Amino acid sequence: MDSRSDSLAAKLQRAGLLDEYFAWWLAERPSIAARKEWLDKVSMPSSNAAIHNLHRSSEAAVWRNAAAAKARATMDANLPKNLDALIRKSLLDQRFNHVMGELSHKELMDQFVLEADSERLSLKREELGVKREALAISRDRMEHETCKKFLLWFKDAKAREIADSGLSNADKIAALRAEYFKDVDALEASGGVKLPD
Amino acid sequence: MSTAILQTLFRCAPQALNETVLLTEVRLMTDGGGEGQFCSDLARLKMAGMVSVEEDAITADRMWKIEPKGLQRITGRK
Repeated sequence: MDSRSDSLAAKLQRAGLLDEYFAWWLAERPSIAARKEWLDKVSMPSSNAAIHNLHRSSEAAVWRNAAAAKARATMDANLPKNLDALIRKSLLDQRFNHVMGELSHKELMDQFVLEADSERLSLKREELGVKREALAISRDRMEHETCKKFLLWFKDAKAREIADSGLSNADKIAALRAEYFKDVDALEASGGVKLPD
Repeated sequence: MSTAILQTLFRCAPQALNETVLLTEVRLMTDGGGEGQFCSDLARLKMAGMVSVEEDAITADRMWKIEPKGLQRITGRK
């Protein structure tokens, strides 16, 4: 039931660092980045997946079990000797299960946080993809519109006449504007519509 | 999930495990898993005589432990 000999759990156990790692994890509840840093310091650089597997390993479960058994033994030593056997057993069982439950619950919560983080990340990636697609669509539309406008302009003799004239660029733009927006200018001149400044 | 249940109880033996703690441990081992599946597997193991349940006399919690038949299944020894 032990993890593979090349797993992070097995490596930590061989180095005698498994207890130290989990005691640190319990006290600090560090982020994945901080865990990586800790493992780097003890010359065990590890991936996110390796850390994930470490916390799900049988070695981690054995550590939780040992921590709970230790808490049970401490309570056993401190309970009055003449305590009713049934009450003693119930209290000790409760103590073991309380510690074990607390540790496994914390592991599970960490797991949910990691999953939520990775879901947020994939959601962000998806959003980025949608934005890129929208940008590509709008670029296509703009190019299409430009080509359409060019064709319209090319067909329009008056516009060509303006473009070929010896006027300055600013005058050409003003003349083209007057040509293409003459209906708007007429509407404004009629007083029926007030254009924004 | 049955194997995860047996392995968890085996690891803690002879200490009995509260049903809630057992479920959390199994969820950790199996990377998730539904409560319905857990309850159904636990009931099947109980019917097969591999695990047993006792109610705590004081708290009325359901406390599970592995039976020799379940140990045989996990260790492969008779």
